[in-house]
Amino acid sequence: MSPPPATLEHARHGDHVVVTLRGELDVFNAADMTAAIEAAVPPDAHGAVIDLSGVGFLDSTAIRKLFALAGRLGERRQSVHVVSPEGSTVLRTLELVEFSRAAPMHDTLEDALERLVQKGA
Amino acid sequence: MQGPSTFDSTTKARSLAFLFAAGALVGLLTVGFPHDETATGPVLAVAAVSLALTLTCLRIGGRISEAAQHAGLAAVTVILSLLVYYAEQATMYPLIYMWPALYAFGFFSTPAALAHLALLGAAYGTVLSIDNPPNATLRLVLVLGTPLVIGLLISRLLGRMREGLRRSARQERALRSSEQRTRLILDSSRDGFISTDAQGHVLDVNAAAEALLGRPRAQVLGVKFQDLGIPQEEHERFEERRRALLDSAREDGTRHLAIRVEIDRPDGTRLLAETMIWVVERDGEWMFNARLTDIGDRLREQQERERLVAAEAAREQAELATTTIARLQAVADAALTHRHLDELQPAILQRTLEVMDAHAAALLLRRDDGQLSLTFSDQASQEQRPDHVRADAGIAGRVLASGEFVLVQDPGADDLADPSILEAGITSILALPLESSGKVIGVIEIGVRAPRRLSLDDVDLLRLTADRVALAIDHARAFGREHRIAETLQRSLLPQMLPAVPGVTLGARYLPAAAESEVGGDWYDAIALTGGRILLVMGDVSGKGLAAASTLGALRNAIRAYALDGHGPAEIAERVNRFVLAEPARDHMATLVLAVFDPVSGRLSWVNAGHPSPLTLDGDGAPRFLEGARSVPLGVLPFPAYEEDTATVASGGAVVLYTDGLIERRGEHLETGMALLAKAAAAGPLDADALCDRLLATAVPSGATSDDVALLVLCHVPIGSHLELDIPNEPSALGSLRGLLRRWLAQSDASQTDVYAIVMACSEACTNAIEHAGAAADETIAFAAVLRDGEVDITVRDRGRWREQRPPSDQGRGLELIEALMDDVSVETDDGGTTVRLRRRLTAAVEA
Repeated sequence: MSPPPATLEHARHGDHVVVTLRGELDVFNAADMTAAIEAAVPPDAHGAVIDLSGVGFLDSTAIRKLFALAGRLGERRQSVHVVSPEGSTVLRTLELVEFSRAAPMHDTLEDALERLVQKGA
Repeated sequence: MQGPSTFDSTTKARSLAFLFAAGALVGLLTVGFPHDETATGPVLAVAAVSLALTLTCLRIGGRISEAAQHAGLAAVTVILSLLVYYAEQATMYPLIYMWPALYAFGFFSTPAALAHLALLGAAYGTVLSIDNPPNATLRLVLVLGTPLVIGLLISRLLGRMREGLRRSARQERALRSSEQRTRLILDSSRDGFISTDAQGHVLDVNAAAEALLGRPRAQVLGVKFQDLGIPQEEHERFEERRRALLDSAREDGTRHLAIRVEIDRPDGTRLLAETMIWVVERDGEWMFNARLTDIGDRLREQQERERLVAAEAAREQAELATTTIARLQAVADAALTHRHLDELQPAILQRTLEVMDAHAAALLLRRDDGQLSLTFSDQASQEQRPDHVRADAGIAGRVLASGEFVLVQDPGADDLADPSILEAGITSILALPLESSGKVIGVIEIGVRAPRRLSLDDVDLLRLTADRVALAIDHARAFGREHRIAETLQRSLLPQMLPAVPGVTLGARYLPAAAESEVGGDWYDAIALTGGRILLVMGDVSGKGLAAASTLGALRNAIRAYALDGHGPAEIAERVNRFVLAEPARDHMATLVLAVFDPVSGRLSWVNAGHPSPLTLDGDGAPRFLEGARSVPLGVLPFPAYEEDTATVASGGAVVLYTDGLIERRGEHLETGMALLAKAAAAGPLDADALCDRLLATAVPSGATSDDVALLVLCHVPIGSHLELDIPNEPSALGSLRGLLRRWLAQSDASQTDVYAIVMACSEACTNAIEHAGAAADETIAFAAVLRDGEVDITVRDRGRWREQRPPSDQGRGLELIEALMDDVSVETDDGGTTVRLRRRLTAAVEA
């Protein structure tokens, strides 16, 4: 079965917006997806948690867009956290490009939310 | 023998009496003028006896018998001999013997006459021997020789006379029987004959006249003609005409009068008779003959005959008219069987020849350039003729100028746009304008050879023919226009180019039906969907021509729209069904197969709306028809249940969609065509184009079909030690690439890390190729992967030129990623494009 087109869901968790992506992100949909993420984060939110657990593939274009997104949100004083499980191919790619320099990485969504709560507290 | 019966007994007796009287007279004269030796006494006695016998004969008269005649004549001989003896007149006296001799020859047969002559001789001999005068022998010879000669002559003359009398007697008898026959004829005639005298009194009538007059002969004879039943008021007129006829007969010889008379019969019925009266003159007397013909019957017969003749004539006329109408209809019908103008024209001319019974016919149609195209009935010599002529010359020119018919007898070469008509011996030509919607579209000409001549009588029929010819040409032209439009429309509705989807190759063919028929409603389509899937469409709209083509177009676009909206085959089918139903004016129906194929999974899901079953081939080429997901055609039911079915098409397998034109052949079962199709599909390499050609060559060997044929073939890329893909220049294709690549790697014991690295690197390389391909956007990217000795060797070749410089802030670092993930990376750029080569040794063993 071919990968389905990527999908995006977002939900508010306190001061943060959790954006869940599924599918594969590449040059075909990267721009649309990052624009959608940006749109999902209102000005009053402290930041966004981008959950890539359901993403099977991330290409260099998507990474570039994520870097750019993190930059833009940072300028708005909004933090970006990325969830990517240990051992996943996506994490391998993110490590290759040292994405952790742009945004904190988390193994699970729970970890990420816990960190944010502690930080906020 | 014919005897003395010619004379009646009275004549014979009187002649005998005359002889006796003559004898008595001779005796008295002898006594009156005696000479020396006359013995008066005996002579007187003999004369007295002779006188007595004279009286006796007169008294016996008509009752005398032949025997008495002989006896009388013998008595005459004796008396005369006595007179000769007693008178002693030596020289001349014996000549009185001539009298009985003549009598004998006149009234008796020749032998009897000779017997009496012998008696005479004996008597005179006796007289001579008694007297013994000198030269007695000479006197005897003279006395007997003279009557003998004269007697024989008389006898001969009398014979002739008798013969004449017999003949006239025969003629008289013949005349009598002829009269009887005439009478018989008159009496047996159906016509009545009446003869009257000059005053009109009836002299005679025949039997038919009795019957016609209704009166017996006895009541008719002596009555005036007009009193035989001619109405009173007519009498005067009849009498006038009778007198006038008599006058004119006397004056100028006119002797006939034909009138019609009505005669009332005594029984109250009325006779209507045509009466011919003619006047004849017999022995200075005028008389009338009339012939009455009962025309009551004749009138009825004549009326009946006229009625029959009229009915026959009407029937013949009707048959002729029927034939003519049928032939005229054939001219109009030519447009039904010959839809193209080129084929129609010879057919029309042939039928025109039949209608007009002409020897030659020509059609001259206006062309756009102002000339006239020429089609001649004689196709054999068509090549030598010009195919077009001037519109302002010849007979056709005159017709066009006047808008009226032109009839030419014995045309000269100047009259003819095409003088070769003269060589065909055509001597009489009739030409008429062809009118359509009030415009003259050309000229029709017919010609005949001598001795036939065309005349004004032929104009009407040719005009009727011309009307139909013009109509047929109109139809053909309209059909031609519609055919071209429909064909163009349909062609434009077939995909110009099949989409490139990684993992499949596509091939398609469309074969329009042979020129005769209309454009059909077959179509196919292939639409690339998200996720590297592809939608195959194969449909057939019922009906033909422009209407079918436009429905087809609407359906096609609707399917495309729903498909891009993300609907699956069943949903699309249900929606377009509503779409077809919602077209109220068009009573159209459509069969359809919609199939979505995912090259990565090899999964095919389809619906079939009344269409021939799709054919699949597995990797070994084994054929199978997909019988599932069958439902009714579109446009039949308001809420049909279209349910998808799925099947897996192995890598290296194929899907074949087609319309019925590919499997339907005259006189064969559909199963036969399907079996043939399956056999042909299984019999060769699985390459989309090759498969298309093979199927067409089998199903339509002649290349000409009676129905349209549409064919769409999808070949699933084989996944073995090699993986070769054509990747479209679209970012959307990258997902399929990765999917196929993962499948390929999965069968080669590659570790997760290897798979990740290779998929990542290939995706990046292809992304670069897409982004840098530049203007050559419709070119595909050739991707090839091969696993050799534990090393994966990948080539990505595009037709563009990679950008030399990379943006400095490029944090994506595609090429760097590639380099990080692969053992060896090379980029070569030449005029044809850029080739990237990636290699990575599989680390399966290490990972495991």
